[in-house]
Amino acid sequence: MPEEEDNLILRAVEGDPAAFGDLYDRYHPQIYRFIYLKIGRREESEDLTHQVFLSAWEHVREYTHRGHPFGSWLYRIARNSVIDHYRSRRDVLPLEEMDGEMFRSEENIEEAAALSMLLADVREALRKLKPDHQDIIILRFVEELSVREAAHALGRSEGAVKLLQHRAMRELQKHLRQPVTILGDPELTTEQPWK
Amino acid sequence: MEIEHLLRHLKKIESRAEYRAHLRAHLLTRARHPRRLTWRDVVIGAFQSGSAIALTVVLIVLMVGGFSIAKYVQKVAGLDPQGLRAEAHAIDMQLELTGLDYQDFGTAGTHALAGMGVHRAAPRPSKPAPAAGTGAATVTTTTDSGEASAPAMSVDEALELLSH
Repeated sequence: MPEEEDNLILRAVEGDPAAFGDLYDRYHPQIYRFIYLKIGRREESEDLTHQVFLSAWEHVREYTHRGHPFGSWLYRIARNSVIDHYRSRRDVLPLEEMDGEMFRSEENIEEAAALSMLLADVREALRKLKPDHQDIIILRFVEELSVREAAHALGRSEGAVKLLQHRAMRELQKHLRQPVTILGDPELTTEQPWK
Repeated sequence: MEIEHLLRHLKKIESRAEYRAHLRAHLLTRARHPRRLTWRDVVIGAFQSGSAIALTVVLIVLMVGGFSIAKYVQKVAGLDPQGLRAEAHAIDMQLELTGLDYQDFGTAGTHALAGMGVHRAAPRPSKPAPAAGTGAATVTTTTDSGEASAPAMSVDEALELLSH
């Protein structure tokens, strides 16, 4: 972890709002993404993300820095917030349409459209998974956390995380409508038939 | 295309910049100006603190005052099980006596009692139950004509005879 972040965390724990603001800037995008991929609605995801940071600020004095990334702690709060959100809202949320602006950086419009469709499929499949499987896929493959970081964020052992990741990817592939492959897994490189 | 590659694309998802900035400002404002305490907060806080202090004081007083649950445990442990059993047996006997007094034995019972020299008591609906006393109460029976000539026999003896 960079020394700068250690310093920010220590200052935030001592109650420095500016330091916490810097941590907010640093971690807001990934916490928002984590929630958005699980919730699927922009406004609700933004509100929940805000609540996560408010809660983090209220409890930051209790935070004990043990060398793990600050983000792991935030992910834990985010996971609990999402669970609470689903408890309070039992109705099924409709899938939001894929935001076209998200991929406007793609040079080729046709490629961007095709990619957008594929990603919509992935997001839909992702949201059909169990919460644990969603968490591990987002943390490991979207946010690209290490096994150790993901294990700390999920409160599991590294071995358990590897096993969970394997199962989650298998489940994800089952729910995809379009043929995709999984790297590094010879059993899963066969393309899925169209459903 | 590989799933891993597709998933990495999801990293492009971002919240709206203006909303993010607005929430950041809101967060920092709250952080710099923590919520002021209201009278309600003060009262609730005082009540909670007061309850905790009072409970602590009561516990300290009890401990210093020599309160010990062992005293009560000793009392319970000092009970005589044999005495209790004897008392329970005596209560059972009284119940049997009451039943015997009012029970209609029928023909067989009457003959048996007659054979023992014990006659069936005349029906006395308003007769009170024998007073509770010692367990070995004596049954005195009367004939229909009011003669009190039958020899007295204890209940234990009568029951013993009936059992043969």
